[in-house]
Amino acid sequence: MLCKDVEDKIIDYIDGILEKEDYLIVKNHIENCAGCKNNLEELTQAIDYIGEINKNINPPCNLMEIVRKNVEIKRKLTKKPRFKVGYIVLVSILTALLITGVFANESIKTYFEVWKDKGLEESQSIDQLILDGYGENLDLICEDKNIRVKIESVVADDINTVFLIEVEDLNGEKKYAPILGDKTTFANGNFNYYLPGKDVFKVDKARVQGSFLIHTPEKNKTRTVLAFNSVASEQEEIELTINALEAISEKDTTLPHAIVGEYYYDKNFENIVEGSWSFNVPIKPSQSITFDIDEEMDLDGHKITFNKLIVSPTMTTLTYKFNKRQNKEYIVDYLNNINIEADGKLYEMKSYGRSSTRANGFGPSEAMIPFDTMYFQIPKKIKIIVEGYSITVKDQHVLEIDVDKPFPQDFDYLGSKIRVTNVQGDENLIRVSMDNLGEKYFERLLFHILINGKEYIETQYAVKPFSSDGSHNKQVSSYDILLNNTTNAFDDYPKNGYGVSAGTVNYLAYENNKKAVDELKLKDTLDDKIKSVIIKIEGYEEQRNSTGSISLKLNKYRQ
Amino acid sequence: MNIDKLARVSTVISLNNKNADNLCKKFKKEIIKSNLEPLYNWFDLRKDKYYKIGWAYLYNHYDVEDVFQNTIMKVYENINQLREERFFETWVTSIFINECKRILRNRQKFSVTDDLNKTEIQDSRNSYIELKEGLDMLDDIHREVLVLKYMSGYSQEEISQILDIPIGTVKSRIYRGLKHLRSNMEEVE
Repeated sequence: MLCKDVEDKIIDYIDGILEKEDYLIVKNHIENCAGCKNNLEELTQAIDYIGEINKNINPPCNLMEIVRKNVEIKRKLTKKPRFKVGYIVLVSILTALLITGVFANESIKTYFEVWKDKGLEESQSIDQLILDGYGENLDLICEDKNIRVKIESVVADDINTVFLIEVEDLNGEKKYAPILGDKTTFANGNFNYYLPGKDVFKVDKARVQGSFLIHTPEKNKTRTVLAFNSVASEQEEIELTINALEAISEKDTTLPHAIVGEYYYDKNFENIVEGSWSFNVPIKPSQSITFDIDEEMDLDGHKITFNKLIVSPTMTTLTYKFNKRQNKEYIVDYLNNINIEADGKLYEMKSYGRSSTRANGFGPSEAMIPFDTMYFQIPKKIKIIVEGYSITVKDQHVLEIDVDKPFPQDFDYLGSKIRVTNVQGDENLIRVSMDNLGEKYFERLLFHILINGKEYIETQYAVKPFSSDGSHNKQVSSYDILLNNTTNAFDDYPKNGYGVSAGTVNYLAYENNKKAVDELKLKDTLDDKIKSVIIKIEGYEEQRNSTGSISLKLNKYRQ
Repeated sequence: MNIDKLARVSTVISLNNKNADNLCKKFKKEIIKSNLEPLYNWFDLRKDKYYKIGWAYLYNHYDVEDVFQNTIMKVYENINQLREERFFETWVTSIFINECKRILRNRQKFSVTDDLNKTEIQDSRNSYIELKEGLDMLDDIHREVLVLKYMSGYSQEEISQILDIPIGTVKSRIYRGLKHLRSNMEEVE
């Protein structure tokens, strides 16, 4: 076999899926050919590298909870399922309508009513800000395609530039609203652009950072609050341009396709009106007040540095940073709830746990969190409270099961005895059962199982909680894992009478349902073809509920 | 990767047809009743796999979360259009990937600095910095096959269905991708 042929087959060779004949020929060639041997080494090194990266990327445990909640709410809000609902920004006059937060208690008012009220609050806030001198009534008008767009007013500070815009269909028929894409609603001028932990960048184009649709009774008018980046100097003239409007229905409570940056723009779509509505707007931003805090909070022995508190008429921003790897034994993944207490009032993070983080996790985690404004009642003292954080402890151990010996087989992991009670099945479906006998118990052990050297996909796994009294103790004492060789789920896995939550099956119910196990066609014993079963434990996850707080006298830090 | 212990696994490529068929029918039935529970559970079993794919494109947790949400909505809306039910999973995966690419396309319209190997990008909710290292230095077509194969565990046949490319192309992209990655590894070190 020539080297070229080996090259063609080498990926399959590494995968272990070559036919016996080819496999032997390739193997033979490689043993005698330095070039191909080297090639193989390089390829496997690259594959191992990917394996390394792979370990660091894990979804948070509550991912599906959040996804599920958001999808359910979207479905309720829209008659015909739509793709995205607008996310609202972090300005006190634009309430974060971020769905999971405010509307968790859906009971009292309907969503529509709450939205109407909020809208009223929003426009009153803008009016109030204008009265107080932080904004201006502009009433700039531009007409095109028989639609009149009016910039009613603007409130600007050095964090946001906020407009209240009215759109009126002069034919008296439809409600039109601006489409918030980059190319359809934007502003030209000198703007600021913030990233956490970095100096401010100057850019010459701003796009919508957030939006809020206000209810209007008229069937041909809409009113929208739009927030853009702040302008870069004390006095700027910017050009606000809207190139496309979309007709929305009476029932729409958010702007269509309102995700910032989303390129929604199908020219053939019949509800869109293209045109040109352009305004030159003078902006005089008010100054925000920056407190250069640079203080460390101790959160369970971890150092979290709070950098700045920026208070502006439109919102409050808190920036912080921490080293993910400050503790050699684990990685701090996320900080959970962060709140500010001041003058008896609790300021909560506006967006549901959202903050900016840096990718890849090799550097420090930095973030910027938004809160309601404190500008009009700047407290003398504040207390920043962090409620909990989550970590991943990496501690790799390989448990190699001896397929020729009987079960149970015991292993040690971090001082705990892991007893593998049984492995049964064949190369299509395998079940691995193991118990953690203590002393230490884990919330979630992260492991991979390799059968004959190949990683098998977890189809279902059952966990038995450590305490059966239903307390919130999340530790697990037993695992029962079903694996199969394809990426397809095993459809017949018993579900009747089980608490199926987040993909785990309640252990007790599973164990009792022996008949169901038979239906899975799971072999009772371990098939001869299985030569190696390896449980590769990578580490474990843990939620920590400790609270950390730091009280600050703001005056000290005022710039 | 222990090459000696070879699993002489016959390529069970056709995704267990019968199961996929039943699965699809069950989903459809429940969706008509407005019950997405089986679909959520199906996703939850595969959340690691999909999260890794999302992360490899987007490097941002909240965007990946959005992709999950959008994908579920799209599956929910379009499940009746799925003609070959045995390809359910690969169909869902290709939707997922398209959603990732959509978010990516919109971001790229607003690139601020072109600082050599770093691109700093922001959208309204999140900022992140894409460090051009290792996997990210690869071309999209190479990275996506490597992620699908080595991080999410799809077979070459499945990848060919997901991305709608011939299996020979899958194989050669994997090969090229690994070679490029290997040479990138040297640069980074």
